[in-house]
Amino acid sequence: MPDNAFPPKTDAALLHRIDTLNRRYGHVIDEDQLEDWPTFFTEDARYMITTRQNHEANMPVGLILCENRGMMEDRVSALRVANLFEPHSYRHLIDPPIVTEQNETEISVQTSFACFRTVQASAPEIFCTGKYLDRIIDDGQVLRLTERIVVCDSERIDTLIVIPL
Amino acid sequence: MAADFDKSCHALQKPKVETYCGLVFGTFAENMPTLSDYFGPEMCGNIQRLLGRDMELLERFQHGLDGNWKLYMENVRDTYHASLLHSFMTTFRLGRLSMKGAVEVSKGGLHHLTYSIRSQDNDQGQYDAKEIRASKDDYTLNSPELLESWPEFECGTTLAIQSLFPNFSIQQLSNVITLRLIVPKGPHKSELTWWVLGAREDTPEQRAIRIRQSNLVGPGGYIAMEDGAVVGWVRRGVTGADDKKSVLAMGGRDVERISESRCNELAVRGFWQGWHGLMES
Ligand SMILES: [Fe+2]
Repeated sequence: MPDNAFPPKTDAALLHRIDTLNRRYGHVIDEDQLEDWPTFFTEDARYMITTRQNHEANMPVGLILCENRGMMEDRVSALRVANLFEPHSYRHLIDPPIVTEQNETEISVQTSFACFRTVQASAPEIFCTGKYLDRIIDDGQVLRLTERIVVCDSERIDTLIVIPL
Repeated sequence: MAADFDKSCHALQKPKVETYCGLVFGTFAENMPTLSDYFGPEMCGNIQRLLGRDMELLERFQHGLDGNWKLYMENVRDTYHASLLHSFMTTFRLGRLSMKGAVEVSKGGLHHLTYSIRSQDNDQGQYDAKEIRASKDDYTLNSPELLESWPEFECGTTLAIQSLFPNFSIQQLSNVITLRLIVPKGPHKSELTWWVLGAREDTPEQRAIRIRQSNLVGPGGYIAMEDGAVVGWVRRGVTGADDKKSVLAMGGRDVERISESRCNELAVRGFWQGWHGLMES
């Protein structure tokens, strides 16, 4: 059996909870409830958007890099009050998650996604496809991301990226 | 192969290649001067200051722009737009608007360098007069460590934007060092390649500062993302007005070599004068 197959012991209920987390995550971004976006993360969580090439070459810099929740909140407030850009929205399509590793404190998860971008009156376009590489903490009640690395398949970003993926 | 076929008459076109501070430049022009003659001493000084040491690549990516390549190179040389377009610093009260600095243009106008030194405000009055632009309510950063920096250079330079004709730019923003190369993809599309660099001599703390600060640059950069958008806005704004023109001539018509004020169009004028000279010859 190849290494990247589903670990046999992943519990269906846990998979469902992770899937729900991802769907809610996509929902708050697509519905412009961005102030809720940082609440999916632990206080000291790391959020990074990078590209497949940079990720595979272990490049440390991201297109966006937040080293804690405060930096995520700053991203949202800058988007609201400071940065200038044409109004646009995303539509996330998020695959069911694959648990790649699990121990007592953390769950490692990989999930494919596609994100369409619609700029004002233009037709929707594929803005980004890629995968989420997550480390998730389960306190028994709530699942929180302690790391989400967004790995974009292409090394090319069109125009700008201001809304998180 | 035919007996009279001479391979040497059908070879690939060979560019002339020269390396400067680790950067490889190529040209198909036969009578191109050496790089140090082409750039001139002022331009070479800045390249050596930033890249004349062992560098490390921290990231590389492509950035699609919705306009002609010259619009981006004009943006790089424009000294006005930063405080108007990139309102991140002023909104969060993070920067002084008046800093000691200068614009330098190479002989003939082709290349330029704008630089400033943060800690030496030379005109407090000018800052106060512009206070209105620096005070949009009371926004503060939750994580101001984003802007932690260290004095990397003895000269004190904290901002340096350099363009090397035709399509290359070297920039230092605090401790973020980037290279940008723009390639035309037709009259109305262009593509920018970014390289974010560190120095091998960096301590782990300095490396961490560079990595964090790089949130300022690139298509997701707090004070760079607008440059990606504005190229498209300008393109759309001028479409359909090919036969019309408007002129701004702040600071005259010439291309002086050095100006202590950064409020002028020397570098933009230099670019267009240089470009026209080459296109007409
Ligand atoms: Fe700019």
